[in-house]
Amino acid sequence: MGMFRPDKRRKVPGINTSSLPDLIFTILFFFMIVTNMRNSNPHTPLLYPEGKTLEKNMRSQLSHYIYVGMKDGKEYVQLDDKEIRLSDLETCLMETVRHTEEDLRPQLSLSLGIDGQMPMGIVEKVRVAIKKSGILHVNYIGKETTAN
Amino acid sequence: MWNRRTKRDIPEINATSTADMAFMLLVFFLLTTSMEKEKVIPRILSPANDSVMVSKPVQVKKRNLLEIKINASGEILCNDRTVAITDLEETVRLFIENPENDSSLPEKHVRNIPLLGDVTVTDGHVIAIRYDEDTDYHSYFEVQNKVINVYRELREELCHKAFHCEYKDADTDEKEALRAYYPQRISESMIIRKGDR
Repeated sequence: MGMFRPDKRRKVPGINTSSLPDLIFTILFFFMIVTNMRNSNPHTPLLYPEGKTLEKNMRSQLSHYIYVGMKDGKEYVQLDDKEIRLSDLETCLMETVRHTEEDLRPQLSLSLGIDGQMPMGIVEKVRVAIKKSGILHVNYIGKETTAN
Repeated sequence: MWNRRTKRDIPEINATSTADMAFMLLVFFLLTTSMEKEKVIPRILSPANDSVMVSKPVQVKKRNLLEIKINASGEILCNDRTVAITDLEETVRLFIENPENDSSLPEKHVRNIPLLGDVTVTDGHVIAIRYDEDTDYHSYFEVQNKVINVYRELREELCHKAFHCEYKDADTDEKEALRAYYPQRISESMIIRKGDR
């Protein structure tokens, strides 16, 4: 029965937290690896069109973004993080192409985030500018739905 | 001095705050992370050489052409016949496959495709997506998505039949053969209204 008697000399042992940093670091590294930093975000709310069985966007250092939407009743065009005029898009894209190393240029791709309400007239202008800049890989961003 | 009996402890590095530090970094990554990848329709645009297009319009036989027009109100016309969006996939599928060798649907040619042998394919077909200036992007995207899905389904079915696996598991040569059997031939253009210029 002596083992149930409270022992004054014995203290509650402290929890050993020396491995806690390692644990947290492991989680940290996991997030660092799976994360992909967005290089740009649309500065105006965009509602992407819906589609089914879309493909994953294989982003790389060589992909750029164009966002097209409406802002204050006017069309709004954004290349990466910069708001530009639609008429300047071609020049800006040419600039982007020029800043890319020559042997990497064929790998350049553009992801197009276009609001579903935009008329095709504007989309066509964007596309003509892209074609003229020589970039041929485009990704139309959409929202995945399972419904028909 | 080095005698163990001099009861002096080796000072430990206080690592209590390492956890806090790592937590800070962790929280930062948690907040900035975007786990979900964007979903896209990948396309390769045709190079811009307007001069060639104007001088040499590609001649396609009428039976080989499926013109999908999307008008400003989002209605779909396949070869000038109204088609509901829900029937579009079926129409496109029938057009690409031409299972009964219909004379109004694309011509079939015998072609030798590696791994598949001599097969009859409708490799001369063209799907022309045409849209109005005022067509909204949503309708265009939907049509584009449906047409591509038909190709995907057809290739998937053939892959099961010929190679007994899913398209994504097929090797490069097999994918090449499937793509040769069902080549994606989509052209896109905007309808330029008369009087506009």
